[in-house]
Amino acid sequence: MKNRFSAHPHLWRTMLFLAVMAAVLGALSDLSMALDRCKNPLYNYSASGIFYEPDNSIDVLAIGTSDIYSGIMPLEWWNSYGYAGYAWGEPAQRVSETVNYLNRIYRRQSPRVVLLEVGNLFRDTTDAQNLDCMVKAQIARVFPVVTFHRNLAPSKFANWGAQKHSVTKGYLLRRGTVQTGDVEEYMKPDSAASPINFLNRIELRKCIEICRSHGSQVVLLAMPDFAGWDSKKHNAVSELAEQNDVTFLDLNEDMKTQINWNRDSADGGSHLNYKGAVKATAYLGEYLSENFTLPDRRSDSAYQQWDRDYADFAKLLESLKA
Amino acid sequence: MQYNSWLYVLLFLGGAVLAYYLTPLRRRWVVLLAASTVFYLISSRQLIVVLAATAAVVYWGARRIDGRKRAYQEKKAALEKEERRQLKADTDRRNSRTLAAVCVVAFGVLFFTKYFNFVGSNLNLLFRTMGLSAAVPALRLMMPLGISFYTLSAVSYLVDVSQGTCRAQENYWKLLAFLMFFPVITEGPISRYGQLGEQVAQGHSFDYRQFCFGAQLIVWGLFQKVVLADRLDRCVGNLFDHYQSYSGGIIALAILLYTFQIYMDFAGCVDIARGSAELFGIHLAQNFTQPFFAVSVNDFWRRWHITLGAWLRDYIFYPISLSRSFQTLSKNSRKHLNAYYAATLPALAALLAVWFGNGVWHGAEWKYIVYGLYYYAITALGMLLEPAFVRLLALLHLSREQAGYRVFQMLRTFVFVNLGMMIFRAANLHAAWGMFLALFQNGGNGGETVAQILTKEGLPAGQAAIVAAGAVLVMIADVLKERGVPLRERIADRPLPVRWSIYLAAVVLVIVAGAYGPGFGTVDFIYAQF
Repeated sequence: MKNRFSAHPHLWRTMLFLAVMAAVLGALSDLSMALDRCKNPLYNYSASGIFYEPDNSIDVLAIGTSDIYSGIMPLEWWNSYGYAGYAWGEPAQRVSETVNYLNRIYRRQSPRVVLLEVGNLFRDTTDAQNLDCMVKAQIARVFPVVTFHRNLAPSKFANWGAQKHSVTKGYLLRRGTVQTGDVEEYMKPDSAASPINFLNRIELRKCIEICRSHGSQVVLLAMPDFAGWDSKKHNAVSELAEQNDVTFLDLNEDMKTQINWNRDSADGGSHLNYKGAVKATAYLGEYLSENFTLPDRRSDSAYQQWDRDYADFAKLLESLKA
Repeated sequence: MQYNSWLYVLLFLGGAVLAYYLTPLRRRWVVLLAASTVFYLISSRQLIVVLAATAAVVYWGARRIDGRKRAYQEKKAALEKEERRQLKADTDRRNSRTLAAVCVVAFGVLFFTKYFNFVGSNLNLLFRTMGLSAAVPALRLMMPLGISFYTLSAVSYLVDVSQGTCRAQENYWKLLAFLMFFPVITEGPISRYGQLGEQVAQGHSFDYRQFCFGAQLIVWGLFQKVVLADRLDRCVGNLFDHYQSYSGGIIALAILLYTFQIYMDFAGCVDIARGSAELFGIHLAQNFTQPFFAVSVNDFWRRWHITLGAWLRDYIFYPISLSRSFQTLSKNSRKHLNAYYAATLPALAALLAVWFGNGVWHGAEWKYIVYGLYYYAITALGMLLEPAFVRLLALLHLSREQAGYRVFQMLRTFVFVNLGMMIFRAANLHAAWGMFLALFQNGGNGGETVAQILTKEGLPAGQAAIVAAGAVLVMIADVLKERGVPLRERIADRPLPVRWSIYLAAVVLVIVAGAYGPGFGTVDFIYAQF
């Protein structure tokens, strides 16, 4: 050992330094994940909460960006249909990250239906940007701090000790309303299709294949998004869905008349607020019941926690109204 | 590919370094060429053809010029004086033609891709004013990555060859490796062949200390860019967009924040570039030396974007001021003016071209031209009033060497530089003028405090605290560097636990406090857009 060290002192020293750095980043990763929670259950929407659900208990998984946690209330599906769903949303989640998250989720869960959100297909347009996302996604697998570093802000330490289990099943309550204004241009018909970078196409195909290989049925989902969606994107995803032989559900088209952008958005058109989420969730619940055979778990004794979660959720909402 | 991306720092640069040192010494330049090609293809795809073609023309031109010079050297000993003079004149004339032709091609490509639409739109305006129906069509043009930087490097190489400062590179691929060298292609420093070309062409052995210095510089650059510059981007953008809503104090703050942002952005990028090159044992030219310690705007430009200033000095100022017509002008001036103004006036004429070039280089917009001329006006006024200043200082019994006077000079320069940055960042000249006037207005900002305004515009208290702490750190580093303290060497000489703690803290700071991910957009390097 002594000889080896003296022959290549710099190499050993560099490796030791990298090992120390890896240990520090590992510790920071754990800390950042532990702080990715909130003591108020209505805001404890952490996506990783799915890992604190009993194994193989989730039947419907909606996965994607902030549109998912802002617009889908899985507990309403539970109340209306007895479906066990989970909304896995991460702010600005990229498709390459979705690939990693799906691989992790399938180790513990086996959803029958996966709603893959597609708004992120258009976020990065260049090869370099998408390659960068892919590299970052791989680093984040080992050191999640590169994704969750925002949780290491001093103000977030107040969340220390919040429960790991997400009562809302991944939903984040957004109560406020910011009007969108002129909605005439929203989903104006256009025959052109927005470009989708080839790397994103590959990553989406990977997502679909992962889901299929686990026996899940896949639906590509576009959540209502006044600010970030248009007919060109609809056309591009329709084409992509056809190529991959999957269903594409565009709530911007289907709910065009139901969403009132001056009442149903939390931030002027990017995300749904509570009122909008109620509508989108109801629409998706109906869609799931009409198109898939999903079990009603309400009489299953293994799902008693879901009744308790729904009761807590309803009570907390009531308390806010009061 | 952004220098501050994971892709660049970990995958691309890591892979290139590994490949470089695993390749035999003699062939290591090939790794740099291959890496630069991959970098360029990822960033600019097919536009690599434009760069390769420019390099081919420059290569051809330099070889022709060098060949004629060599032929002259070989023949001259056997010639009579008159024949030698004639051959020299003939060689020079032909070389000048070749030089001019290649410069026209190189600058032509730059002009076409960068300035065509700007000139076209202004001509169209002129045509409309004159009642003409002619119109220059607007073209959808893509600018090859780094064209403003590699064109200047290419032209300087050619001029240096024609002046005999350096020999022409005989291998086209080695010349291409110099022009396309990936650490400098995006934002410079603008490299001279004599300084960088040979270094790229040679293979370098692994030097652990140098390697560590390079890595340190990259982390420092990332800190400046990712932690500080990018954190300010949204707030600065919003304040400049909404300047009409605010009083002079807030506008002054916006300008200060932008000056700090662009300093951190540009210096950060150059440090990443220099650090990247040092990993291969290659040293790039300095592009910044504590610019805010400058005591005049000329001094500022000797410390800020040094390589651009040096290029303009060597390839515009000197050729003009040493040209025959300017020498004649200088001689004639002496007949009518005193010695000071006789020397100053021709210099001012040459400086006009320098500052116009500086402005135009930054972009195809009037505001950039005005930005260059703004510095020209300050420089010209300073030179013209210099005798008056000297008399005034003597009258007030003040010395320029006094510390107090130097502080005054620094503050004065700082104000001038910030006003320049206002022109530079404003949406257009109209907005710049509006901001300038608003600087003197004392509005109430709608009853909001500074903290409330900053929070609203994208810099809440926690973020502002990070920027403030970072600014203090940068200032301390600049003060130490100004005093000649070799920071990297000092850190390297500390005991291992101290050294490692500093390195670890720096890496963790960039990862934890970096303005990336949700809530922050991807911010392109500001100078990469030029």
